[in-house]
Amino acid sequence: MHWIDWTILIAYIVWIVGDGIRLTKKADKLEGYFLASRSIPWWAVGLSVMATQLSAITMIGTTGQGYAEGMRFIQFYYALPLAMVILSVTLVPFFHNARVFTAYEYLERRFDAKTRSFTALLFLISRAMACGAVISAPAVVLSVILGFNVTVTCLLIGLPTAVYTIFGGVQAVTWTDVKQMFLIVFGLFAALTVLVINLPAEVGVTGALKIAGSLGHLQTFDFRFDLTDRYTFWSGTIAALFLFLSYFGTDQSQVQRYLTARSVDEARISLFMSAYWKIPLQFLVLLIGVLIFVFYIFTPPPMLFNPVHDRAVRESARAGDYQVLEEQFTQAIAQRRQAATQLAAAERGGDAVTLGLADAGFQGWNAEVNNIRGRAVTLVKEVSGDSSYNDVNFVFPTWVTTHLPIGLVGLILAAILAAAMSTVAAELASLSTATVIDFYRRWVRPEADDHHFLMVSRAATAFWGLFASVVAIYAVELGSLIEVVNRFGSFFYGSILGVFILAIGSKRANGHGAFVGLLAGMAAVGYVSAFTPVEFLWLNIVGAVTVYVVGIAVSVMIPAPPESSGA
Amino acid sequence: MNSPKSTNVPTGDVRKHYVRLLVVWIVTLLGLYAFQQYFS
Repeated sequence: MHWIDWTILIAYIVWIVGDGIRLTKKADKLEGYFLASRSIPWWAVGLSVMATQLSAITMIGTTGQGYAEGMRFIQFYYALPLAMVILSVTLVPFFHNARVFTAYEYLERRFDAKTRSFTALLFLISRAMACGAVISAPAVVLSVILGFNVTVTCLLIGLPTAVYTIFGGVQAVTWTDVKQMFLIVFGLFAALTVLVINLPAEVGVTGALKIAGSLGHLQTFDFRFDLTDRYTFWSGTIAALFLFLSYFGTDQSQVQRYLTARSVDEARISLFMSAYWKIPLQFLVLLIGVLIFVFYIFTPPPMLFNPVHDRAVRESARAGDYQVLEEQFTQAIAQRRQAATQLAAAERGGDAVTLGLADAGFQGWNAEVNNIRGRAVTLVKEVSGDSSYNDVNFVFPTWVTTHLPIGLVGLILAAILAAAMSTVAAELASLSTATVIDFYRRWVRPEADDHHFLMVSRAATAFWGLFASVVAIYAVELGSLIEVVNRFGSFFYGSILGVFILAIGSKRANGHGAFVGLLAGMAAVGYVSAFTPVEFLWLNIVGAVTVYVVGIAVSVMIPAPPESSGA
Repeated sequence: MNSPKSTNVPTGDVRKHYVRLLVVWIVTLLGLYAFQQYFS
């Protein structure tokens, strides 16, 4: 990488840390540190909500998904605007008017301490592990691209983020999120512009999209009702609705964002920003992936996008097999390029027969390219012993570092770092808040003053920053464990939502019902997940419905004593 | 539990957003469907 790109990258890190630390003086009280004294304008809260949700995994994973599978992932977001409207009339006013620091604190006021502590504990476990994954996924890719040890790239993301979150609290998190969001969007538009400019003149944007469309890569609606298919219109509008209600409505990393708003209405409007812009933004990210796919039709791509594995196979005993595949790949790529050019020409002015022939030719050569690449991937798996090898996350960074002009490379890598850091910062702040408010202040030192809590909060943020970085560093070794933990997390997302539905939707529900319902919901999700092929999005409905039904039933059977019946 | 009822009702500005959001949502989905149909 050129020294100008390095300078941009380093300047970004120094600037964002300095900017975050600058806000330390506004975080000298507990409410200032955790909730920015409820003083943030709606547009900043809205951008912070979006920045928290848009992690580096979106930047590199979703573009890779667009490259490999096209636009179908966009269906996942179709219910998001609906979720935001539902939350704005349900949970948002409850949290705001209850003047709570955490979503779980509200559960004690409504139910009891055990329900609050248990949900907060589930949040801490899942979010801490997820935070490690948010650091490790881009760190692994950047370590290969930048030529650093993965420990260095993990620390490059984790440490600066922890520093400005420790000192500046939520003020720093929110205002750095705002700037990082602008950088991310600018980086995405810059990437799109370069892709469009670099399309062959005889193909153009329309031709490029027609080529991608001919392979089904622009499919944005799949109306099949299949519970085993992850991304369909139905899973995106029904099942994902429950996931978004749970994520934006009960996950402290998001709830804390809009608790900083100046009023209930500003909190509501901040969520509407995501409702308006999330689908177009996701469209942009996926479109970049699709256009990189088209770009690599006309510019020879590497057979494997992960250079470490590419090198490992070349140096192995199977190097000969790999070389044969590479020669076949080069020929197939050349034939596919020619077929794509003919298809674009036929699209512009050919008759139906010519178009059909050109389309069939292109489809055939594309299938051949995929076939050869599939054999190369199998070879990598055999040589490396890594049966889960997948290099789609390397597609976008590889294209950035090999085909973008000097300056833009540094800017887009900074945008990837910004995406990671904005998510990690919000997660560290929320982990620290839940630790201090839901456990330390509740169970250990309820009588301590703000100064003491502030000190403990900073220590908690530092602890979670360190914990997340260590998890990230060992993520490669702990890969399967982290997957198990993340899967475990998906077991209770819907269930936690069920507890909150009970809290605001039923006057009959009590603490016993909520607690038993939560356990029953997690068990039901575990059962469905283990013994049926149902995709994970639908588990959110299973969890929420089970908690509600069991919660009501138990509440009716075991009424709470009058003093703990809550509302 | 604090009662949220006093400010539970969204103001006119927020209610306007509900209508706008519904319109934007439908237009976005229709646009995406048209995009898929045109280029496929």
